[in-house]
Amino acid sequence: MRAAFARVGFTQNQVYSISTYLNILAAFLFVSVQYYLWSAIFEHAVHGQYSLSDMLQYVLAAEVLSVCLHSNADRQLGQMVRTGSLAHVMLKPVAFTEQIFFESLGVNAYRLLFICVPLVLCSIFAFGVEYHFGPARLAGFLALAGLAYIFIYLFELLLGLISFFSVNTWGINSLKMAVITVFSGRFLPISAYPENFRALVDELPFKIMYFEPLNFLIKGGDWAGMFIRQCGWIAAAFLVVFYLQRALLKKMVIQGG
Amino acid sequence: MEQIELKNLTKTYVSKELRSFKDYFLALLGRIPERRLDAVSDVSFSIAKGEFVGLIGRNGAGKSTLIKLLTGILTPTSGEISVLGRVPHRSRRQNNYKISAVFGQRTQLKWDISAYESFRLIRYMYDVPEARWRSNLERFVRMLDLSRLMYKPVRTLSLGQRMRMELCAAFLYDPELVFLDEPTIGLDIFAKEVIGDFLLEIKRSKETTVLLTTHDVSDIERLCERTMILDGGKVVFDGETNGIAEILEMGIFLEFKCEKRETVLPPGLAGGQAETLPHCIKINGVDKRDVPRLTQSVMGLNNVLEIKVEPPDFEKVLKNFYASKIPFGT
Repeated sequence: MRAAFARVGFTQNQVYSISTYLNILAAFLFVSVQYYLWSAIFEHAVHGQYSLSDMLQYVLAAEVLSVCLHSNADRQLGQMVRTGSLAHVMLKPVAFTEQIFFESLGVNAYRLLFICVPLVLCSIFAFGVEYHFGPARLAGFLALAGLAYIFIYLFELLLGLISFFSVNTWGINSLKMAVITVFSGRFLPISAYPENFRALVDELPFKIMYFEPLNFLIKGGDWAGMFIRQCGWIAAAFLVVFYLQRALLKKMVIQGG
Repeated sequence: MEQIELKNLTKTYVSKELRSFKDYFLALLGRIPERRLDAVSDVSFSIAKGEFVGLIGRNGAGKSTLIKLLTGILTPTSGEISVLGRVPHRSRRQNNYKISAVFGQRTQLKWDISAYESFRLIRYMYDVPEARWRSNLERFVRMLDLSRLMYKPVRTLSLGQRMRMELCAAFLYDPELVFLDEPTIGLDIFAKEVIGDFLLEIKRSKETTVLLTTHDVSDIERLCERTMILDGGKVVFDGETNGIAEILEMGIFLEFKCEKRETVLPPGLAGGQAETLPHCIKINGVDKRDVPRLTQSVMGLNNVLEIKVEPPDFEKVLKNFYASKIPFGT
């Protein structure tokens, strides 16, 4: 049954072939922008713990994660609440949270195959980016990225649940973008932040989305510590989502007749 | 065996009314007073297994809210509710295996892919044995004439085609209880006929309980022996579909085509009850016991060529009902 949801997610993307080609083109443009941007920056300044090669690996791997780590549960739930289509989803014998999760696995498998693979190949063959990590480091990274996937899903689900009473998702989406841009390390390693700000970011859970898996991939480090931290934050997010969902379902209103 | 039992069920919505531009700013501070509205108010009824029940009412009467309460999507504010022996909002997922719904203005099919993919998903979701799923699918595809549409993306289907697909999806896993919320809204007469025939066949061949909500009373007349009328969140009528007119004492309509241009009315008819036209007499609101006597007396006074006897138009009955708001007993 879960595989059936993933298949639906995968095939839903497959029907838009032109969009796939445009995504591949966008990936190529992204790699070229990152390559020339960071080359120019490193030509004029030495940048802390990260060399040019490290930085390129970081931003490209971050792009790969951003393409295939998001379930967009917030957007999906928001749309369901706004249009009232939540009624149908709630009528299924499978929890709507499960439906969204497994469908997103299919969507992201598609994006991994048709966007991320071309992006990595393009970075290697067109721009000569070298990836220095070995198989053990890669395996550790994949495990951390898997947990990051679950945390991001729970975070997005939490934001989506807020739309049960806010109805509109505009503010929620802005909040999500701000959190990911500033606190997660999506665009820049957190180790490059000013010290005071870094101390604040270190206390928040969002760095487990991007920075910790990526930093482990590029620089290595205390894998077990990161793993435990991720599990702890996932458990906390799960409890919040679980109780919020239970409370909100009792007060839910389906829009329209 | 009762499949649905409601006792004094009430659902109250709380809403904020933003009347002026200033209110939008006050709303940000949470200073807009809340307004409470009983969408469903003190409703009690029961529906037995295999019944086809029509649910009618004006816009905002509470029909859709009632269906959402029955499916467990909404939690009632007060009262008792039992669907398939369970409290629906507490056992929603267990009940969902046996419940299905079609919401005329919404789709359960995945928009970008073929309906077949959605049907396949239903098979896994409801754990339907392959043989039963296939035989149901083949049968419904034939009945609803879907064979040419099955592999087209749902977004490319017309409203009528999509609604036929929705009905196929709704009955595919042999649900015990089906809620049809305006399934024929916006459809042409051909699509309506196909859907009506399909539901009649379901009624004949399966023991499915159906609660049909519609504004098109001809659907109810054709499919449901029992009708409930909801108004202002209350059930104001619950009884036989063809009993509504009788209770309203609207009576029968008689029309006589006469040979002569000038026609003669029998004595004793109430003012406004009869109308004389060239070669024609029309009499409204005749008690069914008076039909033979009245026919005889018209025939005695005129040379009648043709007689038309019609029960009151159901739509007109409803209109009268809403206008009069006669308090019916259930």
